[in-house]
Amino acid sequence: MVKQPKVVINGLWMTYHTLKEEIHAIMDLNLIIYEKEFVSIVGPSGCGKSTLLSLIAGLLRPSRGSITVDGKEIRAPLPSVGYMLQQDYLYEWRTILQNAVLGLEVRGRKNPQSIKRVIDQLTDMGLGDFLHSYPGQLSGGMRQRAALVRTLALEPDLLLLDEPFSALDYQTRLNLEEELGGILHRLGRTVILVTHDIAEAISMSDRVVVMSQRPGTIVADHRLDYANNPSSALAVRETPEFGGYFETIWKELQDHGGERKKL
Amino acid sequence: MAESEKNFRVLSPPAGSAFSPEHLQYLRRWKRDRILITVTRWAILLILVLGWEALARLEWINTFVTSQPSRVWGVIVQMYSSGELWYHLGVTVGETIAGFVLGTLGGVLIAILLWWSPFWSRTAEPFIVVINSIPKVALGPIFIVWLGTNIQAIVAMAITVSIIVTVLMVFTGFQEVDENKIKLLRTFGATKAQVLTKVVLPATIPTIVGAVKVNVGLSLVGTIVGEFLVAKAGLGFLIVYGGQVFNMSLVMAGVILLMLVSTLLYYVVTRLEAAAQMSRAR
Repeated sequence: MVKQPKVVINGLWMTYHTLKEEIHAIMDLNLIIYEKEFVSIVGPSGCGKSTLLSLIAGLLRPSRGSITVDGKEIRAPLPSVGYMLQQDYLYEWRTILQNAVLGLEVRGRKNPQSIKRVIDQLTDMGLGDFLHSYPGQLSGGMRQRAALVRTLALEPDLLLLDEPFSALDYQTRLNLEEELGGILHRLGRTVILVTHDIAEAISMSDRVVVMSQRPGTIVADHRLDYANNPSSALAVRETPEFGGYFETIWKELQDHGGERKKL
Repeated sequence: MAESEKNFRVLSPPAGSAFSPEHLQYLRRWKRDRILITVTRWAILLILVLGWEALARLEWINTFVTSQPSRVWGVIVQMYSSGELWYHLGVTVGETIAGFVLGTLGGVLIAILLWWSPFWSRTAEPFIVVINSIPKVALGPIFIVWLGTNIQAIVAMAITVSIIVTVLMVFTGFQEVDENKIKLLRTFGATKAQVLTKVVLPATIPTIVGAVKVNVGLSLVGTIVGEFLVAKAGLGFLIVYGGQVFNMSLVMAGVILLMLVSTLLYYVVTRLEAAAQMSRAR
């Protein structure tokens, strides 16, 4: 089967301007992500990973170069692209259900059927008893699950995850990785996960892309292969290959993590 | 009072659990202090009023200058029976509410416009700072010339006193809304109007309620000043008229009624605030 390109990034530059200086966040970045791939992007903090996601989401416009999704250049946020932020950012004045249907509301797609679907999804995630609770009453893990339902409610076929587990404690984080990995593989969506956690990147994805320190560009691209196909994110951590991948990527981050000379 | 009662409820253990003797003692002492404070408050008020009356009756103070509680009460009773009481109260409360509602709505509206256009918020900044720094009361004569010696001038005064503070408070509140909550909505392709109505306004409700609380007091100040300048009715008119004809009983009656009005308005707004908080933090 020939893989269809889903996201094509071509000669991308992103520069921020302040009165004192201009900051090159991303420099000449090229990347193709294929249909149904789960790609992780790792890099040191401040390397422009989050900027890259905002660009793909259409929240920012590139300074140079282009990004296409399904062959079309991005000019504004697409309904087919879902974005998860570093924290849940549930609105404290809305109930869990009201929060989960927020995207449907904004896109004008809130109707009895879509609400029913969201309720089912919340129930599947163990939030059935909390539909009418407020975010303050839920634990961090439950809140992030609600945020996930909010993202999935629009049935996006491309998901952008910006360190969605970074605010959670380790235990909750492993559980959610496991859970989310399962859901996303079952749904067969294209996923781009940005993280600085190498183990998380390896355990969840088919492919890991390594970014350099700012100005960010791609310095390595690994397709992960395992002798015995591991069944879940936790199982990946048990494979003999896991340690090798971890070491390689660790080294690459060390080599490219330092501050680079200004252009 | 409401605050301390809330604390008391928090201190009570869940039903069925036993108090330790120390805890019982603590609760008893707490209750005793609360009663003592209430009694002392009433005692102070009573001593002030009775002392004033006694000094007046003993002619140790000149009642022409100070009046006395029994006469002030007499004035109030007389105004009540002639129907004037409700008329003057109604005029002042009505003008205050008009000024307060228009000042608050106008202020929030201007804050929204400034939020909508960064160009205009930057442009307008020095003007707002200057307008905010003038004592608004100084504009009174301008309103009288423009609007006449009537109720419009009084309401304009009340609006002017409250509107700029509202703009500043609410606009600052808008700017303090978490960027990421806005970013989240934009990932769904939200328009600017949707960002306003779904995040910025709901997130700023506590600030708006705070502005409302401040504005009630300010509008009353504006109204009384306006009445001092032009009115033929209202508490401000009673006070200034009483002063002009050296009827101190009327002046004192006006001031005491004004205290009651401002307390009442403040109480209503505090209840409103509590209701707003209840509906959020469940």
